[in-house]
Amino acid sequence: MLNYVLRRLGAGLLLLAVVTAVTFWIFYVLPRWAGVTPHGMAAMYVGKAPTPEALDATVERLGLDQPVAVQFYDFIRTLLLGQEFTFGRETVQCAAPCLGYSFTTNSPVLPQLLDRLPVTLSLGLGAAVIWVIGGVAVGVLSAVKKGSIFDRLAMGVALIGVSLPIYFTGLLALAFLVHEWGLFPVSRYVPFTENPVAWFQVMFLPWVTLAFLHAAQYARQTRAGMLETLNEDYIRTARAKGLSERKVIFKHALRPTLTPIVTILGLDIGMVLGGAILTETVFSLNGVGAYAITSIVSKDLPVVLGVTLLGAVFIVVCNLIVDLLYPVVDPRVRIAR
Amino acid sequence: MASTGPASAAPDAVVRVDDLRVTFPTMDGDVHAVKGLSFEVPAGGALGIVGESGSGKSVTSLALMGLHRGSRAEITGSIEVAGQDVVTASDRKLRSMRGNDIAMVFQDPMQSLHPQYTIGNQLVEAYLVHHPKAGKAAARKRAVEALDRVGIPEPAKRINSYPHEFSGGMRQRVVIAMGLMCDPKVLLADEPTTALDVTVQARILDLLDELRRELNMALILVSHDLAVVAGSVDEVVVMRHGQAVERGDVRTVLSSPEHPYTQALLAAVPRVEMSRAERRAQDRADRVEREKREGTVTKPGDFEAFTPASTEDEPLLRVRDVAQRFRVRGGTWGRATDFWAVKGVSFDLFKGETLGVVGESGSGKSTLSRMVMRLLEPTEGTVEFEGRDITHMPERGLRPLRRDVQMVFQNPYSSLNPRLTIGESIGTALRVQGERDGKKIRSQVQELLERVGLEPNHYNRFPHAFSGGQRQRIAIARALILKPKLIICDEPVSALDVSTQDQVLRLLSELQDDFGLTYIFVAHDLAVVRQVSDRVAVMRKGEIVEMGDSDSVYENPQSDYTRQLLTAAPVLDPDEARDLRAERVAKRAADAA
Repeated sequence: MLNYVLRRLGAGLLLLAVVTAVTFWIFYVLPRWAGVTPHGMAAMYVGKAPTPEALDATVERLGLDQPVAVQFYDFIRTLLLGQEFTFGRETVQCAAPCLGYSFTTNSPVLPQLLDRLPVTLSLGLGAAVIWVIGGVAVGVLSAVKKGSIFDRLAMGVALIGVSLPIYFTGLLALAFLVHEWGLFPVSRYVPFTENPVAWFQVMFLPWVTLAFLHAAQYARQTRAGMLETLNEDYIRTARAKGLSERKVIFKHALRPTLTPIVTILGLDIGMVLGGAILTETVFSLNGVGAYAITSIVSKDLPVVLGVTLLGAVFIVVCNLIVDLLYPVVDPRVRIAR
Repeated sequence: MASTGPASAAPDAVVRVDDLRVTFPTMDGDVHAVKGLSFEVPAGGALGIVGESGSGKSVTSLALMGLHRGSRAEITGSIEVAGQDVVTASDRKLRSMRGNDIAMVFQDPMQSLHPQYTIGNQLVEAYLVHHPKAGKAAARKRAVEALDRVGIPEPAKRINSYPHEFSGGMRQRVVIAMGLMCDPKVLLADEPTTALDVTVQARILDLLDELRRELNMALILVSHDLAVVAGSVDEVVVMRHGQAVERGDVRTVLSSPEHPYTQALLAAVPRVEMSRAERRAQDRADRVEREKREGTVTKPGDFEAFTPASTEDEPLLRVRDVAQRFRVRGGTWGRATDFWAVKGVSFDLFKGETLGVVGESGSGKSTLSRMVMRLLEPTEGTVEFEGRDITHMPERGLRPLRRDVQMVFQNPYSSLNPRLTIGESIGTALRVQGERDGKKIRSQVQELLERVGLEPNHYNRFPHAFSGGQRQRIAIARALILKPKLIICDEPVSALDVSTQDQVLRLLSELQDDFGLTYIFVAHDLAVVRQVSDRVAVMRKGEIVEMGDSDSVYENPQSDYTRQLLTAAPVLDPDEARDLRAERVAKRAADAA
């Protein structure tokens, strides 16, 4: 069991290293191959209309004219040990896990990201709770009442949910529920610690909108998995014992059905935490995703790089958690004693 | 002893089925799965229900448990279990009967336990549902007792294990223990040993017999195999197309069957005491007679094509000390450990002979046949085919070998591509080997289809349109199309009904006569292997424990393991079966002492 945990942890770290290397390759090596000169790259980092002197300084500061190996060494060093950036007489310290320094806002990237993280966390985790509970409940009901009106209706709605993009459902919800009928307040994000009720009111619509998309997918998955499980021999065994139908479904059939769902849940939460770009943009939530979009538009490359790395970390971590949960959910995974 | 005559309604009957009919409405009209079945089982008695696939025996056993509820099945007639009618009982009443009055043991122990709960959890639950006031500790104690009762070693410890930590036979014991939790009056076992090895099968059947006697429980044993029920039941019902064609005392039915179907079924059961020579003589005589009747071609002289095996020639296949190692992952830090699936196996195979390879699951028989086919590269040893060393030959050099050595697999349902017509399936091999002329391929395939007992116009049909036996004929045709020198049959008949199995064995024997084929016949069924093999190799844990000409291996086995296999093999004679059981029980008691 300990072996399993250590192996998974090792694999997670290795994956992070690989993702970091690939990110470096995309941001530093690929442009080079495409024929972008060090000055051209410096222009991408500095922002709008830089002077030639500023460009020279940036090339120097980021070591853009250095060989790739040196650049990679610096990149990793900055990431692990932090870096000092000097502007004339001014020196800015970018502390240990330094995701880079934005020359547009003149500040290190990580604190900026951490500022916006609570918004994204609230959005992602809240939505996940809704979509898991909603999706699984609807899926189970649909499977048990297969072919009924409820089943057909639910699967119809689920199909719509899977098909409609967030900027459609989200804008629709905003237009009618907020602006037309005034059911929800027009408000900026309020931290949970400040005013939980207001937080809930603001977040509710984004949650539901984001959850709708995923819940639909989960409902379909749950239904399919449940129908398959209900055909298993061990379900027949459970019935042959004289168990009530409720126990057969919720004890015996639900657990195997949820096993694959836990896997996709890990991926989905990781993705959402990496930036639910559409939802945050539509509902003007100033989260990580919205920040990423702003930086892309303003060509603030260090921020884009930072968001990419942060997203990768989330996905790796969420998958790691799922991997560690797996033996709890399914004892057959506990092979290594 | 149980009642002998049918209709005599025993007053102490614990199961009474009267005019049971089960109908499934489908798009193509109603399917009558069971049509007017009646029987009863006295308390402590044992009834065998025997039939081939589609006879309605499993539908009947599910009906006894009321497990058709919630499906579209329409059930009429009456099923009385412990005085309560199952057909009309309320859902609640039915649930209180399941497991309590009548418990069930299912076919596949690998699938019938929940993989995500410990067996203790599943056993305790079976008790608590009928004794909600008993409390967990009491239920657990009972579970340990039940596990002990069915012969699980260290039950108090093993109760916390998950199903995947048990072997197939042990899992079936757990399922039986689960059935015993509430002291049911009836134990219903639907093909309880079909998925198990011969020796394990014998143990499970012995256990069921013992439990029935000691706990005075009625036993209903459902099987496709007459030999499985012969030694364990008092009365037998033979089913066909949803009806009981014959019913009566097991000794009477098996020794002097009245219905032609029962007679045919009995004749088709391979008998371990019948030798290869007898069987072949009989097959040839039957063939001559059939062809005379039908006025078809083969002259008796054509059988001369078969030349008896001679050890003086160069062998077709020479296998020397082959071994196959697999790496098994999962040690510390994923370190691999070695597992030798086959070790130190040697034999010669001569043209025109059949080598039978018998062994239980995990004996390495399939791995061996894969190495001979060079689907696996032997880790050690050499394989020579027609004097050429093919042990480490690269894939390119193996091309001619692929033509000369063909394989027939066990499962005819999954070994044919469902998206190819059978004509394409069979013809592909010719195309791969370089034949371009489509017409020629077609005519060759059609000729062969006729030879294996199918119609030429089946060429364009898809596999799903064929029964299991027909599919196995298709698989044989596919193996034959390249005129191979050696055919490896890996459990070719174990997925088939007895009567179909008999037909396929006949076909293989006729083909050997006509084309002078050489077979390696891999199977777990001792009787089948004896009837088709000139020589037999008995395998265990990757090694050949005994090898020799089949008559001497069967009549005068040298190895302990072979003897054990032979006493475990089910036999048709009810008295002999009981004697063998007594012998096994005595041996086990002696071993334990």
